[in-house]
Amino acid sequence: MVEKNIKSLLKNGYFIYNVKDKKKLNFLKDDIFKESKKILKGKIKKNFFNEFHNINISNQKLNEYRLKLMKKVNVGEKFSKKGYEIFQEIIQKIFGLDIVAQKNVNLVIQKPNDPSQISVHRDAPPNSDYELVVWVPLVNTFKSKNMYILDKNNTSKLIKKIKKFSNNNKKSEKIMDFYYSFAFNKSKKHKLRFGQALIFWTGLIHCVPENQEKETRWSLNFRFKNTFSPYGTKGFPDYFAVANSSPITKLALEKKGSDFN
Amino acid sequence: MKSYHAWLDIGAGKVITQPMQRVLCQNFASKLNGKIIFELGEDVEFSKAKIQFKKMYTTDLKVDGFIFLGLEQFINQKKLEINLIKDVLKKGYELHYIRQNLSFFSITDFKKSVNDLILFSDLNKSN
Repeated sequence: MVEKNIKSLLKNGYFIYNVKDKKKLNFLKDDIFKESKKILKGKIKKNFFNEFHNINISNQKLNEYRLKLMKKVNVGEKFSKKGYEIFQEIIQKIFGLDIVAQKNVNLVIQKPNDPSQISVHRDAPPNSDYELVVWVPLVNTFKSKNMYILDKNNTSKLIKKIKKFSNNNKKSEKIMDFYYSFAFNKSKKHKLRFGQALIFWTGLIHCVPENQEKETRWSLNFRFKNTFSPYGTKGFPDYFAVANSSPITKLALEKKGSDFN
Repeated sequence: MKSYHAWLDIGAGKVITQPMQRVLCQNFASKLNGKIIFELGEDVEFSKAKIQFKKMYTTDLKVDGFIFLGLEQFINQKKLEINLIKDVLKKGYELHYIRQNLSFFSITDFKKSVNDLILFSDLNKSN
């Protein structure tokens, strides 16, 4: 399975990963639920995640709640560490044993019919080209309750076109229209279940459509890279923390550390 | 309430002006339940040698510690001056770095983070 994943990563720039230890993923979901209960008090409803939009909460309050929640789950890099445990096998296969993980895990809540989160972008630049994103939906995704991904070839085609348009001084509105329509039309719309993750290279363009379904979409994203590969504007130790070290790195740090004992 | 000296990065003024740096330092100090009582910056020509700072921390100051914009201010010839960090902490001062959200309240914190500092230094060398 791992070999198949890597083959797909090289060919498409991404793959869908089936989480082996779903208990650990459930831990993250349970933790979000517990913290939400504390923050939202009596507002919790049945089928909390999918029915979240039925809780009476303004957009401003929603953002405050999300930030509070993110602060809670990121205390002591709890989620980042758990995320590494969940994806350790595949991450080590891709990067080797020296791994850093983004300290703060991002949580995205997309209520139905909220146009404010529509976006088409890629993470690198400013993130590193030597980095992967692990996108984990906390609910089943389908149709527009989803995130779409443009594979490596289509991303490359689109970027080339946009560069050409920019060099030919095309109007920025036209460039933007083309960028959005190409990305939405050519992107893959995979249905991911809770228990699966979309693991993709930071160089890929991905799209977030307006969620027009009747359920709220919840997702987490983790980022991993090799400790010693080039960093983007998100560096070490400001954004990334060591998740694992190889024996040779442990030896080097022990030797160098002895100078400061 | 704790009191801190803010060490501005004068050389970074083109991107982040001194008034902006001041706001960041004050904000960080308030998170530490403290305030900035004095601010300084190295002369741009001598910033790597940190002459002013070295003179300052070796005198008996009535402050809890120092707030810097980032660890980058402690890089000299592509190397992080880890011994300088250790020495400042041994003298009983706190050290805080806004960009890295990194706080050393005592030498114990230093011991916990020394591997991260070594890695930061080594990664900086390869840039």
